[in-house]
Amino acid sequence: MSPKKEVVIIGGGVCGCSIAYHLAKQGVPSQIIERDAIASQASGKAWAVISAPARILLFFEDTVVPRGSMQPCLSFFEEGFHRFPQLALELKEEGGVDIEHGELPCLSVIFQESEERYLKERLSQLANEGFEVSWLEADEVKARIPDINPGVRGAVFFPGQQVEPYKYVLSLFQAAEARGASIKQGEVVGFRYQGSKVTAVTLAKGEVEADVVVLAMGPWSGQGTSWLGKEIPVIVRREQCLKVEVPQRLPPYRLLNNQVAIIPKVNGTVVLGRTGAHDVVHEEVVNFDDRPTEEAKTSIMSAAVDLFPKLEEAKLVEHRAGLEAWQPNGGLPMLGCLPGWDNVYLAAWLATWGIQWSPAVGRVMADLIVKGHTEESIEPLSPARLW
Amino acid sequence: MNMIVCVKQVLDPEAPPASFKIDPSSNKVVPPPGVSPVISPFDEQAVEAALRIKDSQGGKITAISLGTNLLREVVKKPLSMGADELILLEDEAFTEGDSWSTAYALAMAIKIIGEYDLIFCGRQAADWDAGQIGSGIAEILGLPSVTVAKKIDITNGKARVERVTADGYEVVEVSLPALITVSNELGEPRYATLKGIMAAGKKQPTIWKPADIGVEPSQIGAAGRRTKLLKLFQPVLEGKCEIIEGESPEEAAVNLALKLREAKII
Repeated sequence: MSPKKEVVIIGGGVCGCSIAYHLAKQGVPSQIIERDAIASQASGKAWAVISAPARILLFFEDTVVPRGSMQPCLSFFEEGFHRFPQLALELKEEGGVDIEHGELPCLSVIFQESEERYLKERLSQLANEGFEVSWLEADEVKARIPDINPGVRGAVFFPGQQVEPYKYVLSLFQAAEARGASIKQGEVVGFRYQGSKVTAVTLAKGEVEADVVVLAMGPWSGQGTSWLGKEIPVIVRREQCLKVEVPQRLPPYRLLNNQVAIIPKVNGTVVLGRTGAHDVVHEEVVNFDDRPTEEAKTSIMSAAVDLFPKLEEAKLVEHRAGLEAWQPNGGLPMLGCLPGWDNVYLAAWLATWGIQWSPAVGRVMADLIVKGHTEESIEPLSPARLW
Repeated sequence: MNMIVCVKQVLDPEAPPASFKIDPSSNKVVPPPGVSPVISPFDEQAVEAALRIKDSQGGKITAISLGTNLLREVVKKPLSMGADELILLEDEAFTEGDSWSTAYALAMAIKIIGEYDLIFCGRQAADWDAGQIGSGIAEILGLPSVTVAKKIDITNGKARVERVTADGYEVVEVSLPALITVSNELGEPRYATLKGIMAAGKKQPTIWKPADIGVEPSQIGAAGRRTKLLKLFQPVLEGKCEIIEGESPEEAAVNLALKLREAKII
């Protein structure tokens, strides 16, 4: 495409900002339309951990979705995992923000014998497939986390990383901005089009002309696509977490059991998130209800204190909730051209992995827009699979 | 040291101004949808003032609140911060009062509590900003009162209070029991610990009705008002913005300085 074209990205979350950043690196400035502010929704409120791909296979596939079903985007997990250390340096340089990237290994701790049997069996399968996974016995866990609930039976160890979510998204945008991208505040209410081409994005006040439109609208993707007669189904789920201050720094591990995740951030605060028997719990909500609930607060606190009793001295600073966009079945994202339209691209269903996938999603979408193709086949993720 | 702290549940003053609406027929604020109420911020500072005294010399803190539809997670905040007990004057008869009838109900409840050395209130509530409850309670109970405190020290049965003035502060000494209203200059109230929040979750507040504090419904709430609200309205704020142009940033700055001088601002 000619670099003169106006690329308009709807949504200033991690998805839209990563696309803007990767477009800018290919010399294509874009304009983001955002209703509130950069990363004002889930992107800025996330745990912002980056997991080893094996963790997804162990705690999501086979338990939440069928085994093998995440295969088409397993490379996205890997790309995030491998690119973040370098990306953090680039963004500090180009975006002017320290995204507080750091190593944060993950310990998924086990208290039940039945869980231990199942996990050890799956671990040996994954090790045979070449994944880096290891089991720590109770005494090894206690050596790393001396104040853990002493009933711990063992833990699965994974390498991992983390960033500060708001700073990351802001830095992506600022790095894009330094190369010519811009942001406009406004609420999109529809499109103007000619034949199968969208020619302008209509805002509540005014409109923005567009040669290419990218929908990066997260939970609101259903609404965005419905204006173009191709409404995609979106399951909106609310994730809640607490931010606490601790008198003494916690050992540098993401600590999870089947109820809670304890995430010591680089700045010394700790994020407490809710997990379930099989990885993250997300409440399905209607009407984009993103209000934090007392029930979640209470259950996160008591589970966190049970897992790491010293947390009872922690001070609650913030209780936040954000909305995630999931596909109705499973966890694959949707990336590609919107069928029936010549110049509309869609990046949706980033589920709970928006931050981890963002380097891959930004790269793939930018390639698709600028070059018309991607390095790898993203056919299984294409919106065309719905129609 | 027995301390009582009066706290009020109010609409969140941090909610966007545009979300506040007034129903002109009833002269009432329509609560903004989706915005949870909070403890009035000055009242949280009053709780903090009591906690600091409890930290240094021990004591018991009883929080007291008045109204209806009091959300437990909101009014229990003093408990999660470290107060010992919570009493709620929760009855329709207590509501829609003015400063007088509310101060009267609180004073009668404080009489029932009986033993106290210090009563704390916020300097004013974040909703009506009247700032009369503290002085009203002191008057009804016949207590000395000190308003807008920023620091309180207790020695030899007396309170030494730093009181905020327009250009500094004055130091006042008062014998106990006394009533003190607390200002934001006291400093940030503490965050609750997880232990405190979980313990507060298990505590049940004591609920008092008008009969429990020996008052008639005619003396309190709307029936006991001595003032009448004639009109409640949102002020129309007008802003005027002028962009000062210039060929260069330096020239724009010179033009701005000229404009400010013309306006006799500099």
